[in-house]
Amino acid sequence: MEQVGKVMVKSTVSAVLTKADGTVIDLGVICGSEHEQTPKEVTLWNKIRRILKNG
Amino acid sequence: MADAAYFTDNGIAYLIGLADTADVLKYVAWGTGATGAAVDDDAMETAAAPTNATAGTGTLAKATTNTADDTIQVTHTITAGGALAITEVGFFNQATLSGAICAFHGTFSAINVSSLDSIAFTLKSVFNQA
Repeated sequence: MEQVGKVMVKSTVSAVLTKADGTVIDLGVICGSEHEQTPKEVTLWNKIRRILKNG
Repeated sequence: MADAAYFTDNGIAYLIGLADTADVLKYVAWGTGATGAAVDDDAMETAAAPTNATAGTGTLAKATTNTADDTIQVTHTITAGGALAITEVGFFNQATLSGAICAFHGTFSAINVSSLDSIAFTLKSVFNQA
């Protein structure tokens, strides 16, 4: 039986809005996505490697 | 024995540790674009002031969500100089957005801000075995 490893990348953005008058509004998670790392979706890994290589 | 190949949890932690040590994926910009984020995005759609040309310097940290050091997290607060409907945020490898690598791009329903309102963002990516 062949087993193929997969890495899922779950990305989220959380936000807290502070109004000019000092009012604080915790907006919580405002967006998010989860996608499987595939040959076409290794963008972030490639970017990390490029940065580490090139500074 | 089964045929199997995995990029291990320790491998993920190592790469994230390198990113943490390099400390370059920490420059944050917001914007007002209308198109949803995609995995092949290479820039903000419409970066907005005060980060329309130069991103702010955030704080990069590694974190643990499911397994040790499986998470990259960048935090930063941006203050508006005027009325804006903020719909996107991202982090980059350099402050100057021109030519920067967009490593993270998120889009969301508009957050309306006025002058001197600020948003504290937490941008997080968790790398997890499926």
